[in-house]
Amino acid sequence: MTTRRTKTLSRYRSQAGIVYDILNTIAEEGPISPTRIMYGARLPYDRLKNMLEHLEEQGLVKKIVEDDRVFYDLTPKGVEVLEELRRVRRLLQSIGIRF
Amino acid sequence: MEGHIGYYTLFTVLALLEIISAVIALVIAAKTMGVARKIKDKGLFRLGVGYAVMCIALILGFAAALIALLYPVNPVLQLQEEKPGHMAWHHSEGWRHSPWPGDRFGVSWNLVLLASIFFPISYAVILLGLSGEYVRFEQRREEKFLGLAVVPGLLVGMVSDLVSAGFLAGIIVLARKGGGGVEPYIVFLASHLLRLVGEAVGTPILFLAGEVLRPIALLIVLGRVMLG
Repeated sequence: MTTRRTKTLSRYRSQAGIVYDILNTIAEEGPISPTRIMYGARLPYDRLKNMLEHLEEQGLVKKIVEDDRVFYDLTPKGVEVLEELRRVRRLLQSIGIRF
Repeated sequence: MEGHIGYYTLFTVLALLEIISAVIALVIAAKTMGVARKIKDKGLFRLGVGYAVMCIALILGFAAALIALLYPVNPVLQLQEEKPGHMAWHHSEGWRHSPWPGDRFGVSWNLVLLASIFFPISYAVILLGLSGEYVRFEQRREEKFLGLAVVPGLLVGMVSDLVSAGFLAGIIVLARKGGGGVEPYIVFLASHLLRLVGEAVGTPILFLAGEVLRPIALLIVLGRVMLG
């Protein structure tokens, strides 16, 4: 039942909602591995990988490689965007964008 | 005298609602497009553009109400000149008459018609934006051409309301799937249906109820944001 519910929610989550969940997970746990982001943001790995590449290109997250292990952390711009998303979250929900 | 007070009250309320809603739509557009630009989200950006177009439509509606308020015409006299014995508020001439109780052939009615064209465009862009947000695996693109040839004014209004209702039904379905707020869109839909019936049967009171209801949709957004 829980699996089915999670699948339904993921399917109809907005793009902005996914970005918010990724940035929020990274912000809460500091430098974090992609696997943990995957669980925190409830995303399959292939999709998360694409999203992280996209967010890195936008300068919102930075990739840190330590002893062959990959971590992601927020950039100052990422922190700023996360704050803005938090601020306009209620407004976006009112106009049909789910977070 | 009573009729004059009603006329002025109606257009004052309408003008106020339209301008307040235009400001709300502008704030929604600015904030949405601002976030969308930072996360490079095309769907969200389109949603913001849709609200910007809606803001233009609301400003046109405000201008129409303001002109009707500043340059009042007596609709009873105007109709009686054309159709002696008819009362403007009770006639049901269908296609032949506009349900706008201001100057029915003047600038204010033309502005109402122009706004009527902008509304379905804004809903179409909002629908495209929400499609981009929630429908990930379909490369569906809907092109809607609005026949802006020389057609009777009322037909423009009716087609716009019908097209608006269609787009709004799509928006409601998508927003519901996503779990986002649908109440403003339901109010928009009710407003266009009221306008459509008002235009079809030539009943000014239904048309104006639709006009007044439409800005209220954006006041709901404001209320939800403020009350949490």
